[in-house]
Amino acid sequence: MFGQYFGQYLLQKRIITPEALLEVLEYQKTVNLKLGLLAVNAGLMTPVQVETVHHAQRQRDQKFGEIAIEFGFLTPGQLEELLRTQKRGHLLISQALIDKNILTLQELESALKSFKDTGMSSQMENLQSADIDALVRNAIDLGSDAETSYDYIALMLRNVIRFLGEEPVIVPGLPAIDGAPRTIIQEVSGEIKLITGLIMSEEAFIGLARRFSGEVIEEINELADAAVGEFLNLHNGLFLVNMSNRGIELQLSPQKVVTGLQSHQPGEIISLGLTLGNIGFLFRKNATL
Amino acid sequence: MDDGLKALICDDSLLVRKQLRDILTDCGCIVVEAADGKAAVDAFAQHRPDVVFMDIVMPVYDGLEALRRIKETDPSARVVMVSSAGTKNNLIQAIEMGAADFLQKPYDRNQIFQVINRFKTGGGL
Repeated sequence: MFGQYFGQYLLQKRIITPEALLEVLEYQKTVNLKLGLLAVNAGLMTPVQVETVHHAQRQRDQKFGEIAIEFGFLTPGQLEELLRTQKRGHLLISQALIDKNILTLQELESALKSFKDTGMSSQMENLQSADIDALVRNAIDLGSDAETSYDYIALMLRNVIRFLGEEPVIVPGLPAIDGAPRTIIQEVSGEIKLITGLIMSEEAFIGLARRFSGEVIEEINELADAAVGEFLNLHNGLFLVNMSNRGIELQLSPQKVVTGLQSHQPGEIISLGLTLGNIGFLFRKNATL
Repeated sequence: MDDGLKALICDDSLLVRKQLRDILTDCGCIVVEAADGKAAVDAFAQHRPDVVFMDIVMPVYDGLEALRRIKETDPSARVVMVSSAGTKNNLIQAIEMGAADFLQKPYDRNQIFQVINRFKTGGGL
C-alpha cells in the first residue's frame, strides 16, 4: 500500500509519469530492498555516503553494512535495525524507482522528504498500527465537543479498510475530482441529524462499486449506484448500531444519487485518498434533506 | 438442497437483491423480488412465499411497516429482517411484530443457508 500512496503522491507532484508508475509498481514485486536505500530513508546516511560504500564494494568483497560501519556511517545497532526493516518490504517502490532509473537517489530522498512533510506518511504508520482514532484526530481538527464526529469518521476509515481493502489517507483540502462528480447521499435522523455522502469522479465511483460488490461493473449504471449506495448504507447502519449501544437511537433514510451538491461548508467534506481515486466524504451536521 | 422453498427478497438495492438471489437460487429456492416496502406487501399477497427476506431502510413503506402489514395479512408469515441498522429499537420492534429472525448486514452465505435449512426442517425462531 505504501507503494501506491507514495506513487500517487509522485504522480500528483508530476515527479513521474503514469506509465513509469505502472512500470515501477509491477517491477517492485520482484525486487529486494537494498540497505543503502533503507539507510537514506531512515536518515542515517546521505546519498553521497551510500555511493562511497558502493564504490568501495566494487573494490573489495565485503557487505554493505560492514563497510558502512568501518567508515563510521552506521553503528552496529543501526545496521541491525536496518536489517530488520529490510524484511518489512514497504519501501519496495523506492528500490524499484532506483533500479528502473526513474529517479536518482538524490531525487528520491527529496521526494520522500516532501512526502513525509505532507503528513501522509505518518497517517500510514497509524494505519499500519491500526490506530485509526489517533489518525483521525491528528489529521482533522473538529474542535471540542466533537467525539461523535471523530467516531463517525474513524468508523468510515475502518469500513474503507474492511470492505474495500484500502488503506485510506486523509488528504488536506477538498478532493481533486476530474469531471462532474457523482454523489450518493443518505440522511441520519433522530437525536443526531446528519447528511452523509460520498462524492467522487465517475471513474472512482465505478472502481468503488466494483471493489465493494465484487461484481463486473464497467460503467455508471443502476448496479454501480446500488453498490456505492450499499457501501454508504452499510457504514451508516454500523454507526447506528454503535450509537444504539450507547443508548442513542437514530434512523436512516434510503440513499439517493444526486448531481451537483457543490455548496459545501468548510470542514464538512473529508477528503480520502484511495488507490481507486480520491473520495470526498460528506459529513454535514445538524442538517436535513 | 432442492427444497423448492419460495423466497421473497425485499430490498431497494439492486446489488443486494442480485447477490441474495444468487445465494437463494443455490439453495434451490424459487425467488421473487420487491424493491420497496409497499411492493413487498403486494408481492407477498400475490406469491405467498415460504420465507421473506426484508430490508428495513426502504422507500414508500420501510421494512418494519411492511412486516407489520404482512403479519396482519398472514400471522404465520416467516419474515427474516436483513439490515445494516441492527439497532436495539429495530430489533425489539421486529421481534414484537413477529419477525422470524434478524440478520445484521454484512451477512455471509452460510447464514442464509442456515435460515433456509431451518425453515426447510420446519423450525422458526
